[in-house]
Amino acid sequence: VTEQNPTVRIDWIACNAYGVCALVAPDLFGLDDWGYPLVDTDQPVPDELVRQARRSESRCPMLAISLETNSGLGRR
Amino acid sequence: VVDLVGGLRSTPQAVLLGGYFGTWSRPEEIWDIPLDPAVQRRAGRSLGCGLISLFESSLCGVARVAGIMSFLAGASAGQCGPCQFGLPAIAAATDRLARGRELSDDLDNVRRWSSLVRGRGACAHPDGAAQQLDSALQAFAADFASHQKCSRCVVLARGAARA
Repeated sequence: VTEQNPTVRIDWIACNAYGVCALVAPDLFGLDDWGYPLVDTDQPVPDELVRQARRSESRCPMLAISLETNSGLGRR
Repeated sequence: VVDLVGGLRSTPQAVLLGGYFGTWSRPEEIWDIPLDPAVQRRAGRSLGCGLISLFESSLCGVARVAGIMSFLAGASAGQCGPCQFGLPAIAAATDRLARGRELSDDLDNVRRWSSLVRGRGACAHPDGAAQQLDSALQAFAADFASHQKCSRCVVLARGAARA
């Protein structure tokens, strides 16, 4: 994991528990009792899961997932 | 402070510092800690909104917590799922526990859901609620356990025996 790996950010207001994130990025997202995502939003995504993270960002029907880099400049 | 408002009628069962987003303590844990924000923080407590509430020894802590959680569930803005669904689920389960109508996994679920709502909202409403709930689960640990195991409130039973 490098400084450059993004962290996952969830827009909790936008999220509607479709669960697409857990389908397209099963190694990154779990779902809670109500279908809302369980994901580590503190640590950068490990190298091997960055592809899944990008997929979840682009497939979320509510656009509730964004990937942020430590630089604070937002998405790469 | 307690002496200023007339002193104690009886030793309280627990003390809630900082209101509904505060922390419960057993009186012996905090009675000697000065009401100084810095000192309180070092002891893992906080005065929060500044409220000090003494909980009478003859009342059921589980019922009190159930009431608070149902208030906080109702106060959710309903914008974020974990809070919108989590807090009512916690409120319903603690209410069942309080009434002796608990399901076998209610207490386990309350513990799990409390950590599940933390940090998963746009605001800190669920975090504050979970902090108060976690401290209550500790301060009233024996009461929650007996409500779950025997559907009975030891505090109320003790009161009835005395009467």
